[in-house]
Amino acid sequence: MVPITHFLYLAILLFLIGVGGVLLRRNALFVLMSIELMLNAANVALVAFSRLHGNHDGQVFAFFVIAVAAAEAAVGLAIIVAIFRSRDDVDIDDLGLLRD
Amino acid sequence: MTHAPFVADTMASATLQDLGHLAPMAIVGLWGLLLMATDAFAAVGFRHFQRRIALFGLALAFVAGLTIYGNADYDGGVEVFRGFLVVDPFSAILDLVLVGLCAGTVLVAGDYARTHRFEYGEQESLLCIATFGAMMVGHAHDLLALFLGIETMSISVYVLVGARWNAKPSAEAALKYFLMGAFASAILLMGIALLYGATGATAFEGIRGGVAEAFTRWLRINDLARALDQGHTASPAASDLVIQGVAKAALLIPGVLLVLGALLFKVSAVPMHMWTPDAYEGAPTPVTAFMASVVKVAGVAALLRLFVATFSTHRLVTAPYGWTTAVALVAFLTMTVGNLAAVRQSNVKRLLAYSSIAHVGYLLLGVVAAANFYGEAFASDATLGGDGLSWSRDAGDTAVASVLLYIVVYAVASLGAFVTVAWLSGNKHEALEAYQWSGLARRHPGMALGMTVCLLSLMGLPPMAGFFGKLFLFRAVFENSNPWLQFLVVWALLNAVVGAYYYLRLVVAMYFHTPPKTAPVVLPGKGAPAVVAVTAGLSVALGVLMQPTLDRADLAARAFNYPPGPSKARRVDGLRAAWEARDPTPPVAAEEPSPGT
Repeated sequence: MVPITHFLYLAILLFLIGVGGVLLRRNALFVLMSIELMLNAANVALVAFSRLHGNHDGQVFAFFVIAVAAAEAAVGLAIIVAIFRSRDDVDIDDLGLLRD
Repeated sequence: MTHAPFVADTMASATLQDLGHLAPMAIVGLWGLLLMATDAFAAVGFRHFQRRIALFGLALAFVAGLTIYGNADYDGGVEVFRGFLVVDPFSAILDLVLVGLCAGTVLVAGDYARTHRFEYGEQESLLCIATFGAMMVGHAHDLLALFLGIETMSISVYVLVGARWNAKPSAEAALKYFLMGAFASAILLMGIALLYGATGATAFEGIRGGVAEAFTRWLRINDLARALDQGHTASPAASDLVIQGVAKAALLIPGVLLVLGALLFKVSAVPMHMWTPDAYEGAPTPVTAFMASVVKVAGVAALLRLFVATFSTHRLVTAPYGWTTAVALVAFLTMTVGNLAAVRQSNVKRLLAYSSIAHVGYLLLGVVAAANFYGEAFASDATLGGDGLSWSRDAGDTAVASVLLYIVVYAVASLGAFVTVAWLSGNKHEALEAYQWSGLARRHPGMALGMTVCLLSLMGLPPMAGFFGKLFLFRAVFENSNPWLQFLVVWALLNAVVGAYYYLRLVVAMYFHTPPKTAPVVLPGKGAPAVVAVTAGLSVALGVLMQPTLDRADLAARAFNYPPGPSKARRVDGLRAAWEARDPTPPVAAEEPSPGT
């Protein structure tokens, strides 16, 4: 049997890769993908803990997270398309219309 | 809560009964879907019916909310859907306020969109769905409900911010808000996963039990570790216990901090505030009004429900493992940065955005004080047993009541101020620079008066509700014996003086500067003036009739950190009895009206 710590390390590793992507990548699409990676890292942790505790709360939670992630990706991609139409690239460093 | 047996028809009737308890929230959510359907089948020329349908639904929800609001049956809190959500006096007040704020936005959003030529039929639907999410946060009694409520609200608001397709700043604001918001949601979710790992539950009651247990083990671990160190009882069993206990706390504390960071982002506390001015400026102004009122109320409700009511055990509140020291520091930074940044803004929308950040700083002080009081009550219960010292508990309730009062008063005034900004944008451009507001009082005395009342309430001038909001909040925080918190209250008062400077600057421009040659073009329709009239009226009325308002807030916050049940009902009923003893002939249902309905 695989111990719980292995799942936890996997989840933390995925989460940190996601955080790194959000902080370092400048392309909005990559940022969105990194955020999805973070959500899935949390899903791995939820399902692993669900088995550890022997109740189903974590698995139910993971299903809802999948639905929320899909909704978020739909809205996010639509916003990125809107940005792309107006300026032909989706580099988040080029967003300079709104500032102090 | 009694579990119904697994028989199909009793299940169905239990579900219907639960939906009845949640009537306001269910109606708003249903209306969001209904509006989506009516928009799909409506002919292009009939879009304006969307607004009437939405207002009808919100009025229904408001009436349903009133029946729950005045009902003593909910004093002890009623768990619905097997403890997923809870209906209590706190959520009843939030329901009414959120429905009213949503109605205020709906009244303006359509006119604004038509004038700026980006009219779309889903707007009212999205506003209703976002309000549904905010109401779910107010009812949340489970981490899943909290997460789903926040996400339902946030995802709808991302769309609303970016909906103005014919203006570049709108899409840019939407992208900034979306990327930061989704990042915060992912952090929130990881925190929730760790909390679940540490406690084995997602329901708030289970988490509260798990938190207490994690730290009792932690206490034993110190002894065990010392024993291990001395080599007396170096047995495998003892070292296993050490590992198990450390593991629990090692999951719990990062979990609490991740969730805290995400929620502080949602209420836009410094240093997680960078998105706020940009998103507020780029969004269509009625949506900005919605974000500054509904979304803020939901964020503060989440902090109260999760952090003040659930994570307020003594160990989790106080140093070295407590979260309140960090939040006090965040509150200090938030009010200082918010106010100083607002002073140097000439753009009215950004000015109000920064001032909303400053208000969050004041609110966080109340959150910290409430959690500290509850932590002390928890500790005294543990050492003295039972209701040892109830003073800390009462002080905690009072702090929660003052936070609730402050956020409601702030949200009402903030809605009024942003709606006035939206109203002053009749042609394609918005009058956002301060000089465009010069002499507004001569051209539009009524609206200038409404805006002035809202600004004075935000500033905290005595006859307005905002003054009492600040007074009760700061007094409740000052009760705490922590010198750092008492210093922060003094600091907050100095900040309020800075705030007066930039609010009054706008008032002076409206009343004493000569108007520009070209008159500003204003939005057509009576929606915006009606909303400003109601919000300004409420800002005065809630101040003049402060005693009944404060009573209702006290009632909502009474026994706030108790699990739903008879002991909570007893304490709330005790407060009702005290009212009647004070006032032999109580006024018939001292109702707190809400804007826009």
